Amino acid sequence: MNIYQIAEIASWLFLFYGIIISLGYSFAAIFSFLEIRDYKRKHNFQAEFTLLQSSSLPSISVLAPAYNEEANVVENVRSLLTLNYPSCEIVILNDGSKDGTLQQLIETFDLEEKDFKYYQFIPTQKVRAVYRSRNKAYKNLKIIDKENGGKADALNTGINLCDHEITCCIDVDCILESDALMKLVKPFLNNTKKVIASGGIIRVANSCIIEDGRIIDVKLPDTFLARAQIIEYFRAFLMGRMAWSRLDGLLLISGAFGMFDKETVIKAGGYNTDTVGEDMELLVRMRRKMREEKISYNVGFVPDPLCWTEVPQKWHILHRQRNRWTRGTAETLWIHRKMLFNPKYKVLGMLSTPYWFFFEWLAPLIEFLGILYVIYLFIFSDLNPVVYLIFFAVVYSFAILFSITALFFEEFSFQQYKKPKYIIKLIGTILIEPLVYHPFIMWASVKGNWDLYKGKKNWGTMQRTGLGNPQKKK
Amino acid sequence: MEEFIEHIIQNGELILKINLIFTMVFFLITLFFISSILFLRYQKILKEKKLKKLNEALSNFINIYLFDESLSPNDIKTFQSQNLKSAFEQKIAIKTLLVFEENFKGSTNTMICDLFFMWELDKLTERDLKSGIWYKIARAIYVSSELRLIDFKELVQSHLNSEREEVRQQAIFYLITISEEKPLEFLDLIKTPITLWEQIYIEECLKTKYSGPIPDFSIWLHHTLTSVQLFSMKMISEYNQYENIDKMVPFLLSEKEELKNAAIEYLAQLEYSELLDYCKETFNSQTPNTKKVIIKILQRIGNTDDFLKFENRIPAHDWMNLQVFNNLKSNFIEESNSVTV
Amino acid sequence: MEKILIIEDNPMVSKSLEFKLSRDGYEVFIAEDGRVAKEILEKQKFDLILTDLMLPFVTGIQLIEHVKAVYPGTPIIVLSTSKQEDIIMDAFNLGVEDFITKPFSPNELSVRVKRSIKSASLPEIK
Repeated sequence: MNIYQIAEIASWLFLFYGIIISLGYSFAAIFSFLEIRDYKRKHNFQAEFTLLQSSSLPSISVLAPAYNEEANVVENVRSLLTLNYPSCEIVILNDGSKDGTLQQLIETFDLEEKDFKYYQFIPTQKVRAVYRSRNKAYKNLKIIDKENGGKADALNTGINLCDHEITCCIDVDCILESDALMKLVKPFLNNTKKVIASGGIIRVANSCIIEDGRIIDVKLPDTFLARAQIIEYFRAFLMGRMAWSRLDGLLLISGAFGMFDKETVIKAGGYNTDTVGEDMELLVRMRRKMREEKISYNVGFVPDPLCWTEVPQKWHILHRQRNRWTRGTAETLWIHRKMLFNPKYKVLGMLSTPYWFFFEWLAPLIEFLGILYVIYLFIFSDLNPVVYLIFFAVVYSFAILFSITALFFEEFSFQQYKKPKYIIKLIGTILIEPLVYHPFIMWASVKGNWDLYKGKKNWGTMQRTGLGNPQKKK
Repeated sequence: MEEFIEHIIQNGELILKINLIFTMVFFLITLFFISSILFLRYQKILKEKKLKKLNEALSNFINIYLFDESLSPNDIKTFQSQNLKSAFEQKIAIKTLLVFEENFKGSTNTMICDLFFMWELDKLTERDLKSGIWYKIARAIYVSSELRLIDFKELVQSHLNSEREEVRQQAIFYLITISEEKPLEFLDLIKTPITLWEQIYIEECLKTKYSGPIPDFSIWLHHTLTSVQLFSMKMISEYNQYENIDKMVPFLLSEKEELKNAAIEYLAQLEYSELLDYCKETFNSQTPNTKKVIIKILQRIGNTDDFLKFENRIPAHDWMNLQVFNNLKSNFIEESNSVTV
Repeated sequence: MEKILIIEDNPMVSKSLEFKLSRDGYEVFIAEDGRVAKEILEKQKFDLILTDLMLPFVTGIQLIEHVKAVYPGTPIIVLSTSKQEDIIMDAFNLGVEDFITKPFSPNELSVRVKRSIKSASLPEIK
């Protein structure tokens, strides 16, 4: 076999993969479009705020882990306390912070230690103390101080100790719309089947104007890096999860903001402390469990912008985040590898898990191989440069098409970026993103897989470094 | 560039041709989307301008109509023929009227309704109701119930078992809102279970939109849908219909766990005197879920001792319920401490 | 001419109120949220303040506190849909003169406005 034959075969393989990916994305686009159109029609009328005060609404426990958050924790808790919902408790889980997080909370909210007795439905690190406020105004606030065990462990502790049947797990520093709980709990109530979880869309808060813990003006960030992530979030949420929710194949509810049925979480065993992708792993396990026990259920999805989060503005921090996400995906897929192409799990087995396997996990690796292959060809063959050019053109044009479609959906549905000049800037970002941002993300994924492969043995030490999302430090 | 393309088409391999075609296609679709985005923006800006103007005109006119008393019927017609020609304009007019309707009451409200008819907006509403397009129907029913357009009752009733939940819900709220007595008659007609969300909404509607006599909820205790049965038990307790206690008691022996649990919970609310004995006798044989319901209502139907006696009756492996119990206990201890202090 | 400040975030409602009250012979100012209201209040004094409780940025309660501190004599009427009893109680505890629930009757509102302004202008009996 000569070099030309190898080149030919490889080319066809890459092309084949490319076509599958394109088809997948096109279907995602169609399903998203249908879902968004329905959503728009639904929200054309109807005022739901009248329900806000109804005492018949179920109580919710909001669980927010905090690790070394001294600088912002008080402000964050204050904003959580202003959430508009008739009956909820705010549980802050201090995951063995080494700074003054706990002290700050004790002083600001006039906390006192309470006796507590609890059962470890899910085994966790030791709980040191439970605090409540002496001040009646903060009667919904509960602070749990525990030994460090990571984010998953902190959330499990919260699940063990919280009072209500519905738990809402959030990142303490994300910014919630004031009616966020109300909107997220609706799928639980408006359903004839049992609802095990509901999640929503995460938005990028960078550069937005925030007052008293609420977004009051949406602005487009000045840095390319943040804008590229906005485009990425559009793709992930407006094209990805929107479509999956229509197909009932949603596998991931972002750790930053999701609501769960406590009993099902406990039955499934809680968050897995052995993976860095605990949010995805939990939902997959819950769904798997329900499927195996043949209980019919639903997972809710609320497309309104309810939760805003600060995304990394520095390359190395972004690299660390994506590295972690890749490991999380890979671990989850590995843990649940039995579901892959298993018709028993229906949509989950035949569509969702294969999608995650081929598109989310494998894509960066194939892409990386492709680039290596191109370099190889470049050095060892005398192919016409036009060939490179054409291959590049097709990939590039598809990449921007996909992002532009996502932007179109945003424009068609929520239109959060009101100023016309923002749109022009976003289109500009889309044109540059595949050349600069995308290769970087791909590299972070490849590195993540490599780290996972290398680091399997010294697992524990890798994660017990605490749950803080380091990129969110200011 | 053209030479390159020429070259490929004539001499190139198939794979390159395919790629080239795809590039073109993607590029064209991208251009299409970019122009749609820009077009949508442009449209939106235009629409907003138009909307602002129309809204201004509408609210000026309505204010003069409401508070100035200097308008003749002719002025109203003129406004209609000048400003409310398209379906879009009529939709906006309806929206504006609804805002006024929502905020005002008394004679002002009646005037708003009159204006709705004088502008012949009921025609659009009726057309939408008959359109067969679910979101139009749902919106039209919403408008009809806000403005209490009782003439559409039969039309709306025909949508009570619609395939779309949005339409069903609006139809339910409409029927409650417009009824003068028997607000829940529709329950006999529905074939789809009512969700918790709808139950809450029905209750709210009953409390805020309906002013006639409160129905006897026991008629639906034996409805074919479990959700309606649950709802009627809840409403019996909500409205303290003590006379229906006897009709609820048989549900304590129901095969269906959810009915049994509801019976326990709401009979406790109604302070049914024999409930404590029932709980004492049957507790051990109940499912964990029912046990939880019982634990939660114990303090309501019995005294502290009755409550505390159950501690040892919860099986040691039933952590879920032990946790519920301990929570209640610690709250209780706290309360009694604060009383003694 | 007596001056009234209306704080209401629904422009349709505030406009209507303005229309009605100016027909009644008052000079009417509108603020769409609590923050704007505070700015207007820095510049001038009013004979009556009509406010919603559910307001963006500065809540109705915060605004009432502010007015009662700066202009203790100015009567306040609350116009709100709020069903939250604790907030309504807070408002009364702060000494608001009157409370009107939405939906409201414009004629009744106009009577109550008149009454509040009148009783505020009477010398206080000690």
